[in-house]
Amino acid sequence: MTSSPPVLEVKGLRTEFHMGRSRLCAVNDVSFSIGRGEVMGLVGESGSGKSVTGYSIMGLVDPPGHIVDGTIRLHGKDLRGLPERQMNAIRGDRVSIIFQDPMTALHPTLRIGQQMIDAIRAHRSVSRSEAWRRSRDMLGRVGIPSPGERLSAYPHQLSGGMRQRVCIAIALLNDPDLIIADEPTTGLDVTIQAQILAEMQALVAARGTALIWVTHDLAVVANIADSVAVMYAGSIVERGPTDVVLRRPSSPYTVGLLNSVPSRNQGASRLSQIPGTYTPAVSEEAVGCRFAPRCPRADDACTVFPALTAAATGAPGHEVRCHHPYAAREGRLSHV
Amino acid sequence: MGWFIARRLGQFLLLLFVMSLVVFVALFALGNPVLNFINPSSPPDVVRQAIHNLGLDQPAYIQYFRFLSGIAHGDLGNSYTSGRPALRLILERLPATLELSLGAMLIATLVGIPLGLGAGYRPNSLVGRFVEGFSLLSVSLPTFWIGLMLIIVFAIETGIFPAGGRGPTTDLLGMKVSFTSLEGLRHLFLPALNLSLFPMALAMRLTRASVEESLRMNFVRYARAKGLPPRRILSVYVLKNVLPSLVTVMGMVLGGLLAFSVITESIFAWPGTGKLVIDAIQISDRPVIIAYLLFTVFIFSTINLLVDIVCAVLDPRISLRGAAS
Repeated sequence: MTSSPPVLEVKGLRTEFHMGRSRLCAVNDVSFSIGRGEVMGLVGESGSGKSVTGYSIMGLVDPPGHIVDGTIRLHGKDLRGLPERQMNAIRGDRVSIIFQDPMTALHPTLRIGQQMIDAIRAHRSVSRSEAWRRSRDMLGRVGIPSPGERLSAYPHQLSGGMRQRVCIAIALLNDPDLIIADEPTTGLDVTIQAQILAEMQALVAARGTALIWVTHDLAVVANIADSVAVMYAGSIVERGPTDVVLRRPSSPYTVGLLNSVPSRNQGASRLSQIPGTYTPAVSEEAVGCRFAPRCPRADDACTVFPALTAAATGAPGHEVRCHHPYAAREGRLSHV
Repeated sequence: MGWFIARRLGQFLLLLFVMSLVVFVALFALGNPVLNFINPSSPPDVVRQAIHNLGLDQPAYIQYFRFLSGIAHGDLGNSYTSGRPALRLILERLPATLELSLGAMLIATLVGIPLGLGAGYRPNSLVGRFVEGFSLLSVSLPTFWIGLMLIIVFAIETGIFPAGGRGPTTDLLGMKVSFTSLEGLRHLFLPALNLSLFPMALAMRLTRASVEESLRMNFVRYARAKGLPPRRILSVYVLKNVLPSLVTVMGMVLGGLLAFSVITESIFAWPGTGKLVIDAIQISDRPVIIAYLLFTVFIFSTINLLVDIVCAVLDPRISLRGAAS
């Protein structure tokens, strides 16, 4: 999509969890790339593997989880199989992550300043006072009033929105090339959510940082992302430029997802819902399209796992993993 | 903070009163102690005179009130055998016990916590397996047996350490202490090591369990995501989370060591309070027993107070105002 070499290029990523004898495949054949200054939305239900994708990139998948296949290239260098020491040097420096719940992510009994200074001094040999100064400036930049005082506060003394801003500030501290934001605004009320979204967008745009925004909220994606990848049961079922995917969705799952977004124009009619129940854990033996049991268009062909192919819209980079994708027009949202 | 300490003091006094009542009633039920230390063949009027001198011919409630008013004046009664004030006897022996217990705690924490950290961080490593085996062994083997083994191996067979007794003492802030000289330390080491085994095993197991739990916490994953070196994560992020519960338990254990290090003190002929109270119990030296038990109440209350203060310092989310009850 972009002419410059991608910051991050993930190819054929497969992450499994080995539970006793059974192997659960949380991420299956996930590929995408993201360039400098780009924002990618990674969308899916809980358990669709979007967070595990993020952790896989960071090398933070703990046993019983293992990355079993694929490459994760940061500026062309494969992070998979990198010794823990070198990976540690990249984590928090070139790639940083913002967790969903800032209350449990920040250490409850360490001062904010200490946690920020640690993040700097793990990667830069600067004095404590210099690290303290940088931390204060960064808190100011993410919109925290009187940042100098906040540095000596404990997490429980800050509001949820403030704590999440602290986490965003920590993610930005070392001026990373890529930030993975794992549903960072989920626990916050909508006004704070909108503020943080806007600030985040401005901050990454100013620095040319690539951003992966993991979320289940399509409205957020529409606001912030240049491109979007929709995940279902561990695989990307559709991806492409945000406006194309959201306006002319091709995968039946994306259509179902978009139809179940409440909208103002919908009036009193009952909110549409994808039929069936979601089964997040995909065992090793499962074959065929994972969405087939709930899909209105499924037939015998769907017993074979589909590959990602170019969508009918013909938009650059718009791909869909489906045997029976919607054509360019018919997939439009029924309610919009 | 002041209010908190005041409330604690109130609780302490109440506890002391209840304890004195319980102890007094229990000891009274044991019968007349005079017959234990007076010549049974003495003429009846001599026995009667001895009973009268000790005030034991009075009804129980009068004895108790005399005892209470004595406490109010800081007088816990005189020992029946030596005739000296019971509290003074205890305080004279206290430095030896204090030295022994603190020495044991020092060994227990210095060895137990780092090993527990290592075992929690890598449960399947050599350290992890050692901690598993060692802690199980030292919790299940009786203290007196280990004490005897230590004496046999290190004192009798090899002669590296003395078999018992306390080394030369010097005066430190009015207390007679022995850890200031090398000879004193040599005497202190074996009994302290013996006494330290149980708290050491406890510290190991507790640290290991809390570390394993902490490592699964989100803030540890976040610390890793920041790229912090494992050593820093373990020694700051994990340890800071583990310490409050560790301090609480080790505080209780220290109280136990100070009050009930009887066995170790007997085996190593350590002239501490444990030995004093065992002797007192054997001859029903009532004032000494009562004074000692009240003294243990004081020790436990003080340690609990200190533990609460330390925990509040370690964890800023704990407020002392609400923690008093």
